[in-house]
Amino acid sequence: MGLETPIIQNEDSIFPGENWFFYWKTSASLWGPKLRERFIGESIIVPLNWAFHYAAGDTVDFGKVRPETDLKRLVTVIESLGKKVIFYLPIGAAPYLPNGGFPTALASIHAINKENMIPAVMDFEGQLNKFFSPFDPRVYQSFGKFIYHLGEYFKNAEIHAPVWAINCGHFDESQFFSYFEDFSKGLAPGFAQYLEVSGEKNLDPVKESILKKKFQNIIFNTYRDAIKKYLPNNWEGLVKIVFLGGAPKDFFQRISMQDKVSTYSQTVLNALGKGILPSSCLLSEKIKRGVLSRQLADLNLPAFLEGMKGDDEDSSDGRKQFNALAFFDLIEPLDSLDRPSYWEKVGLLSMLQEHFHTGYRFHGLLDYPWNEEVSAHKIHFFYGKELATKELFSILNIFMNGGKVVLDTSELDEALARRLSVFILENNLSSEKIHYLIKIECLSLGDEGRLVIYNGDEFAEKQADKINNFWQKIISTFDIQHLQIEGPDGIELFWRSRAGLYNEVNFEEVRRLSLYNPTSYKRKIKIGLNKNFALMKVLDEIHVKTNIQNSELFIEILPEGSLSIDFGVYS
Amino acid sequence: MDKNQIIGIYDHMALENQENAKYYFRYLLTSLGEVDKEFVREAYDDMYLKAPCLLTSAIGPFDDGEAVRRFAYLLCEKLSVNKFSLISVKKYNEFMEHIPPVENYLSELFAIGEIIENQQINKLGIFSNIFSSKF
Repeated sequence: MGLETPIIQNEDSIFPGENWFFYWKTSASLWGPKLRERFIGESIIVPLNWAFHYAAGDTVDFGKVRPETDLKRLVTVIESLGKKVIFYLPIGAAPYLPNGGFPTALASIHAINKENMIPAVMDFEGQLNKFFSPFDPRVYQSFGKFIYHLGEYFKNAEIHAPVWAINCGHFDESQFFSYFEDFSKGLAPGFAQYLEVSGEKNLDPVKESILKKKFQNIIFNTYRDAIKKYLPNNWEGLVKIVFLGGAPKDFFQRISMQDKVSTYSQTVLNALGKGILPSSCLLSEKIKRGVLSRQLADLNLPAFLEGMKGDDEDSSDGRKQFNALAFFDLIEPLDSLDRPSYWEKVGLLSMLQEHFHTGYRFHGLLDYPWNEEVSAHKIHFFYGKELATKELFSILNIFMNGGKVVLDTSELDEALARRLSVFILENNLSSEKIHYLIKIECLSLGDEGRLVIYNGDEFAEKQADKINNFWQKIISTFDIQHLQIEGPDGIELFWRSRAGLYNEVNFEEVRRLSLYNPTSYKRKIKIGLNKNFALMKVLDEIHVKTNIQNSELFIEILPEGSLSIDFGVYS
Repeated sequence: MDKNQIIGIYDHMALENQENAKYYFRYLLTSLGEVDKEFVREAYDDMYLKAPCLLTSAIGPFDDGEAVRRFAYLLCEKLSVNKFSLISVKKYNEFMEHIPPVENYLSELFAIGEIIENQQINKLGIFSNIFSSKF
C-alpha cells in the first residue's frame, strides 16, 4: 500500500450509507469539514479497516506514518461535532473492501463458498472484491496481533468508543450466510486436526458437513474472543450485517447492471425480523434512491443497534420513540447450523410472516437474554434440541413469572422430559390436554402465565395448510391485538411501536405501520379498523391515495410509493 | 457479452439426501442477468418430461455431461440465441483467481467456456434472427 495522501474521491465513497464513514477514503484534514457538512445523525459508524493500518512484518500504523490512520484524531474530530463514534470490526471478510479487508500480503488462499465458487461482490463504485480464507493460519495469527495492537492503542490513547464485532453476510432465500463460511483448502489442515482431536472417523458427507460448520463456529468464536480479550473496555457485542446486493446471485445481476431493488427491499425487513442489521453500503446512490432509501431511513438503525446491546426497550426513554414491533421470540440452538430455521420447518414462520409480517425476532439459545425481565407482551418459542437443565429451568422460570411460552419437546433429552413432567406435578399446575392435529398440553398460571407443550415430530406427514391452521389457532389463544392487512402482495410492511405520550392519554400505545411499494405496479391494500385501534394520522405520503369507508382504510400505492400510518391502541 | 449468448456455470455434486452426485447448473446467465426460470422449466420439461429442481444455484439434475450439453442446446433454441458457453465451477474459479476486469467480465467469462452453437439459428437469415429473438 502506498504512503501518499489518499486522493479525495466523491462524497458517496466516503459516506456509503447508514451513517457509515470510510475514514481511509479522504484526507484526515478533511474529516471535520466533510462530517460537518454531511452528517445529521447522532452516531457515526466507523468500520475499522485492518488492511489500511497493516504494515509489513505484521506491524500496524495508528497515525505515526499516515495521518489517515490516526483513530484518536478521528474520534476527537467526531466528538468535537457533538456526535458519538461507534466502531465496527469485521470478523472475516468485509465485502466493501478489496480482498474482503485482508491485507494484500495475507490474501493468498481464495475462499470457496457453499456453491463451491470463489465468492465476490461488487461494491458501490463497481469494483469487484474477492474474499480469502479466514482459516489460513497466517490470517488469524496476523489478525490476533492487529487486535492486540489495537487494544493497546485504544488503552494508551484513551479511546472509549464502543466496538462492535461484525459478522458480514448475505441472504439467500431469507437465510443468512456469513462471508466467514469457507470450504477452501485453507480450512482443510485445521479441520483435519479438529477431527483427530475429536476422534471422529469414517464420516458420511452429512456428518462431515455438520462438523465442518461446528469447526467454523469454533474458529469464528476464536476471532470474536480475541476482540473481547484485547478490547475489554470497548467491547459492545457481536452483530450480524446483511449486505444488500452482496449475495452470489446478486453479483451476476449487478455485473449485468440489473440490480433487483424489490429483493433488497424485502431483505431489509426480513433481516430485522432475524435481529440482523441491513446495510446498503454496497449499493450506489442511484440504486438506493427512492423507496429503498426511505425504508432504510425509517428503520432507525442506531436504535436497533442499541436494542441489540440488550438495553431495556421498555425504559421510559426507549418507549418514547418508535421501535420495531415484535410479538414473538423464536429461539434456536446454534442458528448458523440449522438452515432452514426449525420454526420454518414446523410451519410457524410462514404463518407469522403471513399474519404478523416482521413481528418476530430470532435468537440463538446461547445468546438469549435469560436474565432480563420477562416481557408480558411477547410469546417465547423454544424447542428441545440442545436444551440443558439450566435452560429448561430458565424457560419454566419465564412461565412462572407470568410469561407466555410455547415449548416444542422434539429432540428434548429424555431426562429433561421427565423433569418437565415432575415440574408440572410438583407445582400442581392446572393442565389441559387436547388433540388438535397433534397432542397439545396447555398450562396456565394466574392471568398471564401460559405454557403450551407439544412435540413437533408429530407434524410429519401433516398437510401444510392444516399446520398453518394449527398455528393460527394456537396464536389466537394468546389474544394478540393486531390489525390484519389484506392484499399486501409485493408490498413491504413494517410495524413500529411506542408508548402513548402525555397528550395521547386515550392510548396505551401508538403503532406506526409503514408501507412501501418497491414493485413497478400499482398496489391496493385494505386495512380493517377493528376495535382497540383508532386511526390517528397518515404521514409521509408519496405516490399514494387513501380513503376510509365503513371502518376500513383503503390505500392505493403507485410504484415507488410509500406512507406511514399511526394507530392509537387502547383497551 | 453479446445479447444472443448464454453462460452456464455447472457443477458435479450431490444435493442433501442424494446418494450419487449429478450435474447441476449453478447459474444460467445472459447479458441481462439470470435466464428466466420459466424458460428453464420449459426446456427441462421438454427434455425429461418432468419439472426440474430450480433451487438457487442448483438447476437440474442432469445425469452426465452429454445431458448438460443437450440441455444447453435446447435452451439456445428456446431463447433463440446463437451460442452457449458451458463453464465448470473449476474453470470459473481459475478465472476468478486472476482479477477479471469488471467492464468486460461477462465477455471474458464467456470466452473461457466450451462453446455450443445453435446450428438452427445460424442457418436463418438476418431478418429471421431479428424477429425470433426473445431479448
